[in-house]
Amino acid sequence: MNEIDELIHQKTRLSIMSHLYVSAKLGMLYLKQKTGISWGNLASHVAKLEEGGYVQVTVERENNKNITILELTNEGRKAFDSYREIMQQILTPED
Amino acid sequence: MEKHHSKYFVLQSIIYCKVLYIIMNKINDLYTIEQEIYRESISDGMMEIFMGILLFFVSLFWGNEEFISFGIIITLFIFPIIQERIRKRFVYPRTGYVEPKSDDSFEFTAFIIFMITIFLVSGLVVFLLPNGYEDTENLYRVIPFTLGMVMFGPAFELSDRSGQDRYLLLGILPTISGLAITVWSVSDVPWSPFTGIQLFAYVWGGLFITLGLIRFGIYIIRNPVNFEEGVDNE
Repeated sequence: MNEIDELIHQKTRLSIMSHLYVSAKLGMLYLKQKTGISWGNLASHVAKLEEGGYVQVTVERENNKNITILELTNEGRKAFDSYREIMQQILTPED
Repeated sequence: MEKHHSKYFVLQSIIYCKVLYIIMNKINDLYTIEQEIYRESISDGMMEIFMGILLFFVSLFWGNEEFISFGIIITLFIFPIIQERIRKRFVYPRTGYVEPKSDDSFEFTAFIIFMITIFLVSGLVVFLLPNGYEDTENLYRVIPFTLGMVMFGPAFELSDRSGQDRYLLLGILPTISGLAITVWSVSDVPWSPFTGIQLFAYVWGGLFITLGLIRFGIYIIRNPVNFEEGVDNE
């Protein structure tokens, strides 16, 4: 059996990945409101996912303020698919 | 020592099961999250305003044909640009940027069946009107009803993607009112058949724009900008 992806296998990062998986793009502010964690915490988790190549981060400038937008990369999408598959294998009782 | 080990093992198993339980819920919840994201993306009322403007241009087109190119340019090219400017100014600093997944579940067969159904039901209504197909104006009179049924397309899409059945009203109410206008326009009302189409489009265009503006107002009130965290200042 494949190993569980430790980068996704964490409550907040799983929540971030789940939201990005079912959307085209999401802002940091939206994710902050959905996860209920602080900016610092969220930024740290997003940085980890970005380093892992799962998330692409773009920053748009509007009215002298930055809007950070996140998008799942193809690699991230594949990783999440395989994570779901592994978790379902683990949780499905064997006959 | 062995007793201590077994206690540790039981505790670890319980924690692991709890974690799996949370994760399993998250995985099963993807569809709900998708619907929530879609609902969020249409919560600012812009979609209703867009539909209202489109209907207004249908009306203008029937009244004055030179408006057609102007209407198409405005609604398809200029409105999305204006909409994005408004969202950047008012929406993203409040609830953040939200772009739902594009709908890749478009089924051509279902679309064809839907269009054939509209065509057949409209044909039946024309048949049932006084003088049926002999009166060619009946073909224009039925258009408000047909437009109402066409609204079922976006109504089904909205209801399905948002998980809220109330969006079906956007198909039901225009169909009922379209039928009423169609039937009414064959009575003694001194209308041309085109007036019925214009009445339908103006009324529903106006209602959609009003509904959109109300939703936008409610959205602004309910979601104040958090000046510290509304937009991340880096």
